[in-house]
Amino acid sequence: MQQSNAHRLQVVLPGDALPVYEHKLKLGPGLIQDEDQIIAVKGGVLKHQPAGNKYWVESNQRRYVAATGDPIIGVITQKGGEFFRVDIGAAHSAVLSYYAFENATKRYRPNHDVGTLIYARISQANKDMEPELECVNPATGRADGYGELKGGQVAKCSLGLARRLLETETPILKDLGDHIPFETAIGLNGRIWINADTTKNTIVVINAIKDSEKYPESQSRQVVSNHLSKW
Amino acid sequence: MATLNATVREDKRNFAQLRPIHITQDLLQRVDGSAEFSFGSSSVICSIYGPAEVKIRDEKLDKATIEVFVRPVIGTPGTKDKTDEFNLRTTFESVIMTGLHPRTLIQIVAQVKHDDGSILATAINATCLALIDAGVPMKAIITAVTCIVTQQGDVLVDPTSKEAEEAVSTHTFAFDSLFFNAVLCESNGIFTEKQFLESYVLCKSGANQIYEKIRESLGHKFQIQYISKTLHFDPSTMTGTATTTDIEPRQIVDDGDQEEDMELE
Repeated sequence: MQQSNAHRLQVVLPGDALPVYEHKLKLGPGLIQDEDQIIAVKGGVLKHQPAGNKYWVESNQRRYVAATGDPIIGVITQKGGEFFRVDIGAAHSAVLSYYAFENATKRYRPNHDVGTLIYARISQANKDMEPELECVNPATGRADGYGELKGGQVAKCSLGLARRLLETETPILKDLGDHIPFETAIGLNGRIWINADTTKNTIVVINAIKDSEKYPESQSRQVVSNHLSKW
Repeated sequence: MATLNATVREDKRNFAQLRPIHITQDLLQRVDGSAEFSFGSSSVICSIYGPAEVKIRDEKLDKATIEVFVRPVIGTPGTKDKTDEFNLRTTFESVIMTGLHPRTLIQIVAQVKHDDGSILATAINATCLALIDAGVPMKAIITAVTCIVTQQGDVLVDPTSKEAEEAVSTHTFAFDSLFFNAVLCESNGIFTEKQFLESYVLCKSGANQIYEKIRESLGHKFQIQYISKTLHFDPSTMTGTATTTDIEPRQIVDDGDQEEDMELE
């Protein structure tokens, strides 16, 4: 039960030691190193990616814990001298510098009011510090789709659903798009933003996405037609 | 009491037998994690909220604050509930990795749904399941069992409230899943060392049974959840074709249970 094990579906519960003996590996969420053992600290399915020899526990939860690089949807709760304070649904609110926007300079500051919805990337996350956000790709200086979300509506969902929606293979967004044109932004903090041409369509899309979590992906078309026929 | 019936209790269990265990996870919508655990008709619903924002007064700089509330079936929490809160907190402080979420709050609310004895043990088991559901990092799973020593000197595992009323002493033990060491020991009444050790051994084997049960049901739950999301899955036939390349679909269904057993060794 050595290496081949990792490719199969293995359920781990907190406290389980993994049958992994390689020296070079990367640990993701739900796993920690305790002396010479790898221990699971969450319950879920153990996953392995041979590229980079990465291991992590795939689980679903409702509470978001900030991680570097995650795209998130937040609400501005406060304006400071140098930065916005943004609620991201985690234990601590995040900070978003005025200079972390496209084309922002000392003279040209972004002007967002309290309550504005922001799609941003977590640029720094550390358990001992407040998470930091950015609405700009630091390499190119471009917004790359981040920034204020105007109009539309935000809905909450589980973190697992948000993660799946960001994967390209997940069919529900595409299947909905065949019937209703809409814009979407998905935050890994369990918030999805939808903006369709009419309010009615926005609500249909949100309900269908939330409902899709209860059904396997193969039934996504059925979920879509169920919701379309309700109106 | 006739000696003939010495090995059978009022509800037809033998002395070392637990009541039927029932587990439900994720039953509340608006909390971060929830679970219900029952021993027969004794039942506790536990909900977890966190890691969330903490009041400055309770903030700890290097670890998470754990707050526990025990709610009785009727009325406001009394002395017994406060004792249970203390026991729950000390038990889970040892196992939750609070250092991973400093300056946050993990709130545990255990609501007693029906009290028919062994409430502390039921609450500990429910809390453990709810913590797993919430994804709170833990070093191990904790399972607990209560037992009593009767006037005849017999040790009965998992007493009903009627049995507990007539007991000379009551003992609750909680064990971690790593080495099956006791992490909680709460004893009330007058007892001998021999009775205490006998209680310990019986509770330990009971805790082991609960652990196996939790493993079995959660393992099944995670697999079904995971398979149905990623594969074109038809629950009625339990077969499917993989859409992702790193999974071998046949082995998923066949080897799942075996692997869980291997983990135990």
